[in-house]
Amino acid sequence: MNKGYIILSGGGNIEMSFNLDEKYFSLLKNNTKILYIPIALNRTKIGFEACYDWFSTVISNHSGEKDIDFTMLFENDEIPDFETYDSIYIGGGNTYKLLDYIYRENVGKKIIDYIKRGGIFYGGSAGAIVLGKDIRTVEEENDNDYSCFNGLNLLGGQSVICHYEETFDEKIFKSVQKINSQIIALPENSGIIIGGNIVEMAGKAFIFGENNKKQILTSKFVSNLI
Amino acid sequence: MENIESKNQESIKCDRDFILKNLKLVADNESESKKFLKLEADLLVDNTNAERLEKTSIDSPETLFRYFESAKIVKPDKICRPKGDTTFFTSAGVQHIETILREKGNFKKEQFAIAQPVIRSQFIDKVKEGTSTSFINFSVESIDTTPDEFIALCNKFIKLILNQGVNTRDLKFVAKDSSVKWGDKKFSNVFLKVYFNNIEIGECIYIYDYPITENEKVSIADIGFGVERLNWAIGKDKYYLPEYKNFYVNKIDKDKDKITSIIDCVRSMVLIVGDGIKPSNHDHGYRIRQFSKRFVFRNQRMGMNVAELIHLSYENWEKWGYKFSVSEKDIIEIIKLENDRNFNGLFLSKLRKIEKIDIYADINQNTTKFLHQVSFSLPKELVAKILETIK
Repeated sequence: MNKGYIILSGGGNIEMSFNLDEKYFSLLKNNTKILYIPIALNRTKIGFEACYDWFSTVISNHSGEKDIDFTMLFENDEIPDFETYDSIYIGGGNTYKLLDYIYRENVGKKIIDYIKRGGIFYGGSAGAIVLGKDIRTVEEENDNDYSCFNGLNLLGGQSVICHYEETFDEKIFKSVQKINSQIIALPENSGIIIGGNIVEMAGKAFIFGENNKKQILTSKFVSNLI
Repeated sequence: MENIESKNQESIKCDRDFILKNLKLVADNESESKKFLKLEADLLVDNTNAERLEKTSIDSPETLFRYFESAKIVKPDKICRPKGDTTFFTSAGVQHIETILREKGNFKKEQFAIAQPVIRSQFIDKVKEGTSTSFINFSVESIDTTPDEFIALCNKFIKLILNQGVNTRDLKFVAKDSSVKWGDKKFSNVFLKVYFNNIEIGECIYIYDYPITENEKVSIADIGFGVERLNWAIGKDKYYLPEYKNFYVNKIDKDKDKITSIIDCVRSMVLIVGDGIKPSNHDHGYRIRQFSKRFVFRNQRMGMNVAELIHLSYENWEKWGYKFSVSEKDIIEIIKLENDRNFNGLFLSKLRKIEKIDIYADINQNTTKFLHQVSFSLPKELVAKILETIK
């Protein structure tokens, strides 16, 4: 059983994820240090500076009087000891690129151990999808013949799709059959916080089975995830 | 300004193959990594002979501007960019095109050179000799430019490096076509990265379609390099930041990377504070706080004098033509107070970690007052013990 927290975000801009982020930052103490991993993104140097600014703004919006600092981890950096960070935040981008990195650098086990030991893990979009059973919910992102699609499977055998809109329904039902897994669908203004024996929702989210789609109700969902 | 669609039909495609052909670059089969290209041997001789007669110094703005004489000299942008620009801080000379667009609303065909102090926060925890969060990005930008003009600028840059007495065999290249996203702007480019002894020392980029409006796009050639890195990489300077030589020489702990990482925090803080920003938990001010925390942490048991570092940094940025809006005296005061705040925070965190003691004390005051407040909760010996671990 995990002692830590998993925060799944449906993605979107700072305003869209405000409510979920507010809940995430309320879990963080004063003098927190976050490891921010934007590896799913393809960016130039200027692009990564903008990325740094973006994460600074996220922190500024929610830190209040708390001292919160962060370090950015890039693709060719040495992987640090995750235990020296109070939280790990993996942002969005190309899910296949991110999963390839996770396996190549053996980061998956570190993430699992980190959460088991009580760490607070935030996955935004691609960062959320890789925690599911199978990332082929976003098969269209496989632009580089990546062969790996097995996620870290930390969500009770369920998979995840982010940026969800109703127009995705048909595609999601097909994915359910293909990957043989229920799919959690998160719109951009929503997210789920799992931990401390509870599941808390921010906004609406849905779960897709083979033939049905249901809005996730926290109380019924708890046993599936924890 | 031309419409990009009609322009593309007429013009030559400035892609990787075009660059290889026109700069006479060939695969370097001797390099460990097969990705590298090198100059054709015959060409090297021609190139070097042409401009070796008069050596161009690359550690002063005047000589660099003179070398790129066809480009109009423009003053550096402010380090803090206004809301709506791609980044909080100017992070490359090419961002001056955003300034032109913001102020004039459009481009005309022109070429300019800029010695731009920049901040690259992404390296904040990776600073070492050769890598810093702030430096002078000398850039030559050519707006509404042709592939041939781009090749001419690339050649000019390569000759500048060869002009320093660099052995041509040590010069390598990587060329690649790519797509780029700056904020909400997406465009395509081809870049040529230049390496000396496997250290990246500059890049030449040709942007096909920089978006001005939804329907109007422009081509831009961007030639840029970090002055400090280039001088250091080619061995001109023993230290990455030679202006601070005394700090390297006088330290018992002569770990150059560590000393550079301490100096770097101050250089970056001087730029930001010097632009009128105060430390805070928000936006530009949050970055000062991050640099200050790292300065305090890294300067533990090193005792590098912050006022002296600020003075040297102020002088150095001014030498490159940067105009501060805050006096050196005020910058010293602001940075010292923020360093005190973060020193106080470090004290409390050490107390918690080493002694498992949690006390309340206001960190937002100078360290003398903070320690006075702490003395009501802790015995003198314990305060001294914790201070011993930091100072």
